[in-house]
Amino acid sequence: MAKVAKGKAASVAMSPHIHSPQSLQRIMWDVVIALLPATLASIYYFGYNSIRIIAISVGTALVSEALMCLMTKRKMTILDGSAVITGLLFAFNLPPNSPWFLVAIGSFFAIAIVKWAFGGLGYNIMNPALGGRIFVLAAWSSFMINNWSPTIRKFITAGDSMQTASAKILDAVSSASPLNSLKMLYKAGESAANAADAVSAATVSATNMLTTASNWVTNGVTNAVHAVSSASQTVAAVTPAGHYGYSYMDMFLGNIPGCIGETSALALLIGFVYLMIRKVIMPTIPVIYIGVVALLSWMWGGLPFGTGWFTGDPLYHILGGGLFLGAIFMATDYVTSPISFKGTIIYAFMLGLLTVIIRLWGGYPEGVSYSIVVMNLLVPILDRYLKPKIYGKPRKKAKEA
Amino acid sequence: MKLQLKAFKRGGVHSKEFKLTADKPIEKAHMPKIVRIPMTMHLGAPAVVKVKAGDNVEEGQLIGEASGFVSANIHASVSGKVLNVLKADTLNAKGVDYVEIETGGSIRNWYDKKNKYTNFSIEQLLEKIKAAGIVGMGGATFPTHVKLTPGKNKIDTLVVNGAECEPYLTIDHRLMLEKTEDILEGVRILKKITGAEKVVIGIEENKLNAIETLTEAVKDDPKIEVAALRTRYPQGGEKQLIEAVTGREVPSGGLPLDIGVVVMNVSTTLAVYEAVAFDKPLIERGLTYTGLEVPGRGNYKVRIGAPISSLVEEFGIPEKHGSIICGGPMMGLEVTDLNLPVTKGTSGIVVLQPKQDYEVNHYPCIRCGHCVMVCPIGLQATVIADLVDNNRVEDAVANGLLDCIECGSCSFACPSTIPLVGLMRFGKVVWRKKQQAQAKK
Repeated sequence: MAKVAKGKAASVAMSPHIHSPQSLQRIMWDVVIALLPATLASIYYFGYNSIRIIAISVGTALVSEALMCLMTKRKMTILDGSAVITGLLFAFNLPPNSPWFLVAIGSFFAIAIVKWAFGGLGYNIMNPALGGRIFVLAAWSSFMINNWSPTIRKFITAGDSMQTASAKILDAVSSASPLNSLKMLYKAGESAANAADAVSAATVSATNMLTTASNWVTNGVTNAVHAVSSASQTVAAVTPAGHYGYSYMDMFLGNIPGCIGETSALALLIGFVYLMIRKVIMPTIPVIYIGVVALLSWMWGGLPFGTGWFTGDPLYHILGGGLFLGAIFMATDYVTSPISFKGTIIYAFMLGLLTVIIRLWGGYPEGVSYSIVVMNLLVPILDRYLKPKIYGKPRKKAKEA
Repeated sequence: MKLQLKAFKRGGVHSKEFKLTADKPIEKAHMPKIVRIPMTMHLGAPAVVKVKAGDNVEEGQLIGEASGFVSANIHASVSGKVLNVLKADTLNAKGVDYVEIETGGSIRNWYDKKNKYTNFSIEQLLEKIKAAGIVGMGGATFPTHVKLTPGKNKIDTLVVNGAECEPYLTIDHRLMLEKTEDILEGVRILKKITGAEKVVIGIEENKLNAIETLTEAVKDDPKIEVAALRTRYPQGGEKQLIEAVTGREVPSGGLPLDIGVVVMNVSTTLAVYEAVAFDKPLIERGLTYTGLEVPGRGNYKVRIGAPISSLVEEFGIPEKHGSIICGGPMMGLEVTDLNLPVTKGTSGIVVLQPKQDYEVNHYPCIRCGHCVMVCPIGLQATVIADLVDNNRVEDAVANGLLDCIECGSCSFACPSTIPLVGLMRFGKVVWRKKQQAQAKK
């Protein structure tokens, strides 16, 4: 019988007596199923590296979850699917040659610290997978930036086995991922501008101060020449042949360097459609987040190049980097997103804004993980002040509890 | 026919409708061997017992007198001998006076003499309704003559509730099809009493034949119209019905008559007609006895006070069954004792299957926001329930606890099976106790 066994609700009449088919377990496992296309895509593009990283990540996540359940004397929850989701999402955020200890420690951090230290399921203050990612980004940044491999596809088509191809891509490490290339171009643009300033400053000094300035001139010009040459080298390395070296189709399918789970927009979209059919998520957050990034990157994307407003490349921006993965699977995480509709709109809009600002003007090439974590921390404020209007009450700000 | 559907603005859930008995015409249930009539089947003060053990009573005789303004008369639903007057529990209250009557003697025909009620004044009409002990039969059981007593507000719209949004229940649907003219006579009587300028009969679009029948029946009366409603629970809730049909919102803490509206259920409207035209007190009502795998499911006319066990005996029950619900599965209460009687507010008996029962696990809230999405009032159930659980009832009230209509949409949708409605109910009990303690000071 549907009965309330204990607690305050047990002392009053019970209703309703029927329940929607959606349960906690069903929702969690639906998300795992939705992540399967991306899992297959990661193996298709990065080979055994993906299998290794996913296995370590999910395995550590399950062990950490079990450990925390025992330590907190709570019912074992490793079968509810939430640890598997965190394990998968954390794995998807890592480059293919991540060392095993980085994967294991990061996964443990995500489960034990980000989720359990704050109270377990329902209480994490930020997305656990992203919490794990920014932890390893800070702790082992050399493994996490400028560490991109090409995909195994061209080696497979050349005849290599998956094993050989997977090993080969680890040797071909470079700094060229779609967004990283873009960031370097921005910086090259800055350096070139700085170099031009340095040259003209040196010329002025030379004109005004003849003897003591002669050293200045020599140094200034040498530095300027170095700056210009490294900038042009960067530009040459990226070889703009269309869109900084990657075709839109490659970016859509996932045949580009990047973290193992984030490259294939197509696989992530299939998961998105599945989640919407199963009524696990509403399209609000992904559509607004991706839409705002597209809009703002079109509006402002050309500014670091000095080409003016409305000259950015929105498709490049939304298909490159981890935007689809973040917008569909991590920004929509229930625990760390707002519960009211108004809050959701502002949350999704701010995510887009922050992502674009970090990408164009911040220190990192990719802004998705930091934007989501920052907005996660702001969600309690959004929930406190943006409550729906209550039937029968006048439309004024409901005071917070 | 092309319908323009009206709907309440937000929230609600659409579960499977299970209108298994929509095509079953209403039949009379067998006379029960005994009836157990409690003195409180209505909101307000219980009636005062007027008979004692050993008395012979006639069908329709007054056995409980209304005490105070908000109260209702109670009548013997069968002729026979009073076996016992004792205290027992009902589904809603403990230690209530029961009059147990053993059925015997004659069955009365109420319909042989008809009053010329079109000449009655409003006071006379209200007297008939009060004498008959009519209460809201949609489930709320508020005494009808009190609801209709003229106040300072002018009523401009009478809304007739034919929504029947609970899954499984079909009795109002069948009444609208089979007793169309009687119901419309009741509507005209109510229109006269309230002085309403306009009448709207709201019917969910899953009852298409009822919409067609009633639209045809009122086509010559410009003041009465039929509104087709989107099928979504809780469309039949008073506040949602008014919002859908008139666009107005009942003010928080207020009543529909504050905005010039009176809502009346279809069964109640029929009872009003029978009281006014035939002096028939409320001694029997239609209900839906139903459930998947229930052999004799259908719509039946049952005597008030008939033990639920008599229905189970007559219409059957599957060997393996889940909860038995008095009312609809969303807002009804579980029948713990089959000796409990059918009361004035029992619109259905639903026998659920064991797999339909769900376990209330009270897992942690995962902030999914489903409860917020489905609340028709716009409350954030998880926030309020959490405050109640942490003994912060004042903050819960500030977040709208008292506006909760206990429709159950939130608990229905919660993936963590948190007993949201239960916690809200508990919070209200605590609040009332605090208010009473304050008032005593």
